[in-house]
Amino acid sequence: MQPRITRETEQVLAALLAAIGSWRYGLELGKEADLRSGTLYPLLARLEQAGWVESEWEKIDESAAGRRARRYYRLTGEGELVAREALVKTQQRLSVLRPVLGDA
Amino acid sequence: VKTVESVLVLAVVAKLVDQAFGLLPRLSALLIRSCACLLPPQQQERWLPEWLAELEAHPGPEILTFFWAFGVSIGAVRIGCRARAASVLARRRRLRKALTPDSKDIFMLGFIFLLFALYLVYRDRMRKDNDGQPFLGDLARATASPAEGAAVLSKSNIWTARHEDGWANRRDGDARPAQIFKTKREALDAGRDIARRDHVEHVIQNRDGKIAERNLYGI
Repeated sequence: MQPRITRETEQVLAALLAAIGSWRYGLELGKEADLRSGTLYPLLARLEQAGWVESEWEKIDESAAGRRARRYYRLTGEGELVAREALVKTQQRLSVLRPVLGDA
Repeated sequence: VKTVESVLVLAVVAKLVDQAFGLLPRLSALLIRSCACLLPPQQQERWLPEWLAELEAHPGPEILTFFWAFGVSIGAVRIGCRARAASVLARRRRLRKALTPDSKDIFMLGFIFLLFALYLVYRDRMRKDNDGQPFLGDLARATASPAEGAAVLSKSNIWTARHEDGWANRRDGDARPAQIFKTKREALDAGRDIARRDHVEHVIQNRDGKIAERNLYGI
């Protein structure tokens, strides 16, 4: 089943799309997408199940690095398409507000 | 003295708060672990190490980290609910598939209906055929009440005999004939019908009064 694209979904997709080509871990994503942990992780679970997002463990030596390995996320090919489509649609929908809000 | 007291109280409160905050990281980990227990094993394996790693990496002060951990535990519950709902849906889908009748079931159902329809037609025909004829069900009904039974049993025999106006059917013991016909053939047929209906003996006389035939239409 395809996940519904809610505002929170868009926020995560936008954060991942902005960081396309690199990996992000949960804490970073939470900050960039401005989401709380109670929303972020279920969302990531759904997106991963839908195949829009993939994740893997950071490959580091934990004792040498002095911290735990991170679980990294990035968009899949399909996820990128979906994210682009959704965000373009939102942008178009909000573009009618440009005269009201100004260019800023 | 008051100042000293308030300072002491403040110190105790500060110590308690400090202790409580010292407990917070452990409490956070406990919260995440216990809520992760609600997940199905596969999901638990997937998420718990990540959350514990991020808990350690969380930058804010302990109280904020605790709030973050609280959020994670809510997230765990949400993931768990979703997984459970998905499994319930899958089970319902399986059940619906199992309950959908296939062609064999429909054939069997049709066969049973056909048998039932045949039985109904046969029953109606039997009822029609048995109308006016003796058969077990009717006899049982006829003798159900003693008065009725006696009435059936007390019917007298039918005599078909010569009469001044032709041929007559008369009950045994009656003075007047019940029916009068022109020909013997007509009287004979009617008398036989009555005898059959009443299960009595049909006695047929010749023109000279001699008994030609006795037919018992008993039970």
